[in-house]
Parts: sequence; structure tokens; C-alpha cells
Amino acid sequence: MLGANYLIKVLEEHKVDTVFGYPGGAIMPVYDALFDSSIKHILCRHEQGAVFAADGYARSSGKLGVCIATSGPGATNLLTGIANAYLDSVPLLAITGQVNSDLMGTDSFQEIDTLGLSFSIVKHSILVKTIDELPQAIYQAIHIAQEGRPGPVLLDITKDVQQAAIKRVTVSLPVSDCSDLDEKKLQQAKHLIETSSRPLFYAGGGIGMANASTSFRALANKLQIPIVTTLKGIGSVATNFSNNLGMLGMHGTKAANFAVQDCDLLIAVGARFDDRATGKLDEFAPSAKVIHFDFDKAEFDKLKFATVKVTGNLNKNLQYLEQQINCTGNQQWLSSCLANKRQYQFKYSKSEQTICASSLLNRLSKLLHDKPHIVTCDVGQHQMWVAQHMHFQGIENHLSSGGLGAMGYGLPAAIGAQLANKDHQVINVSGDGSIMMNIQELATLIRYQIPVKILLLDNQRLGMVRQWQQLFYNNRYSEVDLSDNPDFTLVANAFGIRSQSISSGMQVEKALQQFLDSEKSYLLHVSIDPKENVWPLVPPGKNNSQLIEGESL
Amino acid sequence: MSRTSNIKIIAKNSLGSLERILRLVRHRGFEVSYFEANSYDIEDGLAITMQVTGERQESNLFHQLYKLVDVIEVNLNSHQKVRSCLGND
Ligand SMILES: Cc1ncc(C[n+]2csc(CCOP(=O)(O)OP(=O)(O)O)c2C)c(N)n1
Repeated sequence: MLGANYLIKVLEEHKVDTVFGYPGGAIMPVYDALFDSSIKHILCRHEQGAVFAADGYARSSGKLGVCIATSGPGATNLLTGIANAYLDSVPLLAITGQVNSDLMGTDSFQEIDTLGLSFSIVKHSILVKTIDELPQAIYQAIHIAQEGRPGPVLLDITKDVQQAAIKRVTVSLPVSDCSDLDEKKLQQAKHLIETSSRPLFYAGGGIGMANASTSFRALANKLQIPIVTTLKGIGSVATNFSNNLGMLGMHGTKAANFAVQDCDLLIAVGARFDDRATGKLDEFAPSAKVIHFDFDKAEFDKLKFATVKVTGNLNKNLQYLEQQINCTGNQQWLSSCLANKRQYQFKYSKSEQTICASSLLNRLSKLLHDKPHIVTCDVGQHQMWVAQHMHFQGIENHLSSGGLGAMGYGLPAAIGAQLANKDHQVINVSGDGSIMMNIQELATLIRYQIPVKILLLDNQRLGMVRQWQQLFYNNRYSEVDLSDNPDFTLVANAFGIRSQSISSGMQVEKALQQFLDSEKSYLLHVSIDPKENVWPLVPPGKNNSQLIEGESL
Repeated sequence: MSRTSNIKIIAKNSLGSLERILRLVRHRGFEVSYFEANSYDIEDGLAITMQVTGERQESNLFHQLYKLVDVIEVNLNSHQKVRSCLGND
């Protein structure tokens, strides 16, 4: 068989059933091998769409996401998506074709040093220039992307290697000998928890990556310690779990941010003290000792010193603690956190005239409640409104570009999520700026009859940037006006997708029902006020208790 | 206040491994003031000696280096030592 057929065979052996990609000259042997393989290839309409779709597939299923592109422009178009997977620790395999090995370094047609481009955005990358290296490279790439803290691996394969003859060989990789349980550290953690009076869980996306939601919930339930989550930690406990105070950070809830500022023990679980979560770092959780659970030791003390650092298998660590600790948290502290939660909970207004985005999203969430569903977001105000006002049962039900904050993520990620979760209602909540970044993927929806729904919150602005210009740049609105947007309902129709546009509160209920009832993909265009802002907000350079609030329109 | 640290690394000599190490050191906020790389007695191995200066915590650099798949062993100022547990040696 040829190298390209071998690659596809190994993917099949690893139970890869769906890949996302776009063909071209240097990857043609792989596309030839795909032609009669059992793997379903989804032709996206831009390589960025393909890589984001693979990311959505991976995040929503826990499986490896695979994308394929040609050399040169194909590879460069993948880069944003690879970086996204890197910053959010998503298990992703990006396969790129490369020009023939003898042409490398000669500036030949569509030759770019893909390996060189990859270094800062991958967990690992491998350039395969001889057929003998191919088996080890493929097995290693698949393994590295998924083991430990997951991440993207790039496999760049020259065309001559793809076309070279190879015998079928299997490669066995050495098993990691990292020990899993550090009982001494766990006992120290136990002691800190038992002796603290105001403990708080700070739950991050690592809980999802480690598939540890169940253990985390069991521990949180037993200890009765309040919880705040990061953007990626949303769903680690259900939004409506009684002790969940909501998201912390720049657009976090008041209850969550106040709790962080007041706690005397912060138990970080798979969270990395990102600046959007911490606000002014020196004043973040100022009176707290920190216990930090993370698989990746490089996260320890990177930004905030931790008294106890626990690495290894998160599930086992949390289960161990749950078995060992018998005390429950301080009832008075929990009550005061829950009192804040009640006092500052979001309020939803009803207007007959205009549409308030937060009320609409909250209503949508209620309508979705008992159906399995996944919401993907783009980046901007609408992303924060989803995080604040929608309810999630599981971490894999909310897909958001957290680390990179890449506009254009939502639609392709929804495509990947829908293909991995056929029985789920998959909804992309987007903004009028973001949707245009990968609008071509509407064609992918139609081609494969993928029933993704798009809720487009159109404020005719790059809303989040406009909000910052209003608040921090003295109302100088520079390049944020999108009032010449196309008619998005017509755009959808041109691709063969049904659509509807609404602009008044009275239309919301019926339109949401039609949106959800549609068996096919559907675009609901919602006109909202350009001046609507996301509140609360912790201004840059301030600590999380110095949040500001404005009027909701 | 910036500090100077001596780092010794044993790495696989795969395509790009030197670039990865140097890139990481720069990106994580350190400057290289001395660098030497020699072939090492394991197959395809590299023994690297580096002196770096920076204001950030050197332990963080150490853990980041150790995360590189090609890196087998990192020694910092000859007292901290980590062996990769990926078993790629
Ligand atoms: C690819 C990319 N370019 C630029 C930005 C900077 N950015 C962050 S939010 C935003 C505005 C997004 O506008 P829209 O999608 O309409 O959402 P809204 O904030 O109005 O809800 C911009 C430009 C980004 N996050 N990603």
C-alpha cells in the first residue's frame, strides 16, 4: 500500500470516523485514499472552517478531532484553528500535505515551512520526509494529541512520502509511567480544606478535558463549598446547581466575584488563572491560600502561588479527597455567598417593542431545558450573554473559543458538534461581525443536511469593541459600525437555508418556537439595540470587586 | 530583578527540536547568553547547555521545557531535575 493509504488505515484503526478538510495538490494522495475509505470526509468551504469543525467535534465528544489541508495556503488557513485548539487544550490532529521532499527549501509552488509556522501553536508537530518515519509519526501524533493535557498535533507529510510504498506495520508506544496519586499532597489539601473557614472552588475547563465532572460534582456536593466557574468551566456543575455562584472574572456574576475576593481558600480545579478571570492579579483572592489541581505542572505558580499543588489524574485525585474528607464547609460562609447570589441574580425584563438579548437567551435556554443540546458561540458581547444567561448541564454542552477568542469559531464548531452528537439540538449563537468570518460554512450545512440552528444577534456593530470604545476610549467609535450589513435572511436563503427576522419583543416567543421546531438548519435573525452593553464589567487593571454596572436597555 | 540560570537539556535531535527550545525560552521571557549543543551518546540525542537571563520564575521555564515532546531531561542549575515521563527515550 502507499503511505497515504496507510495513514487512512491507521486513522480507521483508531476509530476516527469523521474528518474535516479541503483538498489540494500536495495532499492529493491522501484524498485518493479517502475516496474508498470508511471515514466520512466533510468538505468545509475554508480550511479555517474545517479546523474549527474538527475542534467542535472533539470538544463535544471527547474524541480526537481530525482535519486535513494541502500545503501552502491550505496549511496557513489552518493556523488560527490550531492556535485555538492549543489555547483551549483540544485533542486535534491536523494533517497537511507538503511538497516533495526534494523540492523543500526551494520556494517551490505552494511550499511553506509549515513545521516552522507551527512551533508556537502546537503541543507537537512532525514533518515526515521519509516513508520509514511515517508509522511512528502517525501513531505518535494520535497519542500525543490525546494524552495528558490534550492539544493539537500537526502532521506535515511530503507528497513523495504519501505516494511511497509501505508495508502495514503497527507501532506500540511506550506507556507513561507517571504515578497518579500523590497522597501526601492530597492530605495537605485535605488539611487546608478542613481548617479553612471560607473555601471556594474555582472550576475550569480542565475538568472537562479530564472527564472529571462526575467526581467534581460528587466532591462539591459532599463538601458543600460554593463554586465559581471560568468560561470554559461552565457546565462542570450544572448552572442551576444550588451552590454554583456562576462565572467569575471580567463579565462574571457579582456573587462569584465577591466570593473570590472574600474567600480564604481557593481550590483551583483545572483552571489557569487567565487574566480575563482574575482581573488585577495582585488583588485576586487577596486573602486566600491556594490549592491547585492541574495535570500540567507548568501551570503551577505561573501566575498565582499555590500552597498545595496536586498533579496527576484529576478523577482519582478528586475521588480520593471525596472519600477522605468528612467535614462539610462553613454553613455561614455558604449562606452569605448564596444570599449574594439571590440578591444579585440577573433580572429579565419583558418589552413588547424591543428585544433584549439577555432575556431572549434566557428564554431560549428554558425552552431547550429538557432536550439534549449544545450551544456554540462566536466572540463578543453575545458570547458573554450566552455565558451569563443560558443554563448548561454539562461542560461539553457549551463550546466557546476561550483562550484565543476567535471570531468565526461558532458556525463551524456547531457543524462538528452536530456530526458528533446526532441526537442533540445544536445552536450557534453568533454576532453580525462574527458570522461573516466563516459564513461560507452555510454551504456545508446544506451539502450534508446538518440541522444546526443559527441565532444571529445583530446589533449592527462590532459590539464588544464598541462597548470598550464607549467606556474606555471616550465614545470614539472607530471602525465598529456594521450598519451596512447584508440582509442575513436573504444570505441564508441564497444558501438554501430557511430564515426569519424579528425586531420586536412580541415576536420572540413564536419565532423561538419555529426556530426550535424546524427539522432543518434555520437562521433566526434578531435585531437588537446597538447600544446594549454587557454588565457587570470589571474594567482593565481593576480587581474583581471593582466591577461596574450600567443600565440595561 | 533579573536572574541568570544554567540549564542542561538532553533532547532528541528531531526536526525542529533546537528551534522549539530556543523559541520557548524567548517566548517565556528569557534571553539566551550562552548556548552549546553537542550530539549525545544516545541515538539521535542532543546535549544542550544554556545560560539564560530573565525576570520570570525559572521553575516555570523549566516545566515548560520539560513539556516539549523532544525533551528527555532538564537540569536547572544542576539541582532541579526532571525526566520526561512520556517514555520517548
Ligand atoms: C478573529 C478576531 N478578530 C478580531 C477580534 C476582536 N473582537 C473581539 S469581539 C469583537 C466584536 C464582535 O462583534 P460581533 O460578532 O458582532 O459580536 P457582538 O460583540 O456585537 O455581540 C471583535 C472585533 C476577535 N476576537 N477575533
